Amino acid sequence: MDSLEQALRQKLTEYGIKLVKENLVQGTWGNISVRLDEKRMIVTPSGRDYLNLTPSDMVVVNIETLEYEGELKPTSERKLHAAIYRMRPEIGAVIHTHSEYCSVAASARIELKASDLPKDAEKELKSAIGETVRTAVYGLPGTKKLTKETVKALENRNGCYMAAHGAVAMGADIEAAFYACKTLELTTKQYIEKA
Amino acid sequence: MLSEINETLSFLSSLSLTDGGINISVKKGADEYVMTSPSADYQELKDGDLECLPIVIPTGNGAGESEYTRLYRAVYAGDPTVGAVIIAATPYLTKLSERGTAIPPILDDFAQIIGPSMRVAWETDQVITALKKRNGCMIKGRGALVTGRNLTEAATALLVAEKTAKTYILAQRIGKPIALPYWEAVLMNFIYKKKYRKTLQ
Repeated sequence: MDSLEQALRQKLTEYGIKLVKENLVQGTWGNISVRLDEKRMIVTPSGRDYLNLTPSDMVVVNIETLEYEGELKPTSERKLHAAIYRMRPEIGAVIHTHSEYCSVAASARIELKASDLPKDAEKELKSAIGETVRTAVYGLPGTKKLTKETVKALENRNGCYMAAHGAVAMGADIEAAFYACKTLELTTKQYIEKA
Repeated sequence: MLSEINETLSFLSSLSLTDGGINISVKKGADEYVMTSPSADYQELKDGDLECLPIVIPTGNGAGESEYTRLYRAVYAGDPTVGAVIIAATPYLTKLSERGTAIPPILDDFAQIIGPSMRVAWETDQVITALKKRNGCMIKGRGALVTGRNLTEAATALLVAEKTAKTYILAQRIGKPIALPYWEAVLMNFIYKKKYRKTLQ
């Protein structure tokens, strides 16, 4: 394992804890990944509590074949993460959550317009995600349909809601993806609270 | 068992799910269950705060038993796969239970863990009917009762049910929460129970 891989594993561990502390994920729900190189990503394992994860628990997955290294099983949403990296070469990290307010938007299946928010929030959402936040058409968890519809809703955006499921946010690196994820949750909260 | 119950209470308390009142029960062996004493200090339960009771009592001996013991006995006797039960008056489940509004499957984790809906039992003796093929129901005006094969699963069920109750109420402010098709929700619950049941570890 080279130093880059070690550093990325460490970052995934730290950001998993940050997601829990910021109340963006609960229990074992949600998953995170970072791009390791053109062909590989590192993802969180399936069904494990973020607070107990260590860097060695993270799983390296091939973006093309979805084959993985090691004994731990990668997140069941690895297809979605891999599809995003294949479609968007500029993306270096992806976060999928079932956070509270994004779940509200995802259950009402809205398209949130940044222009419907107060000025500061509008600016934040545009910079983190884009002009609007779409809701991806529903697909059962872990299916090709969920992946296809989510990638479609992410066109020219850094995040979207996933109908009846949660949200996904991404960025050039894990810091940017976390910022997108947090901004998405907070601006969605503002929108719901002023409705 | 005491430490497991204290850990669960601490976890649920960190999410403000114990503020309105909570009672926990865990099955012990095939014939008995343990329940937290309603008068106990839930910040740190001690051995004396747990009561061990039989699931089946002789006919005619139920007079004077508390509502909790009646409910627990009925749930354990009705479904031998249930290993733990939580009764809690969490904020959003209580609100919907007061309105008498069932929760449809608007989120897929709810469909997986609770089932195709969460119904309201208008009286405590309707709880078993409301729980049929589900891991939770509301009790009119009083919050919810959730079940699991163990305490971790029951706590997860409470967490997901409360999140979905909040989602259901808030989604109506920005549009209309859209439910998954009934049979899809039933299928997701079935698959989850068979293959993917998660733990909070």
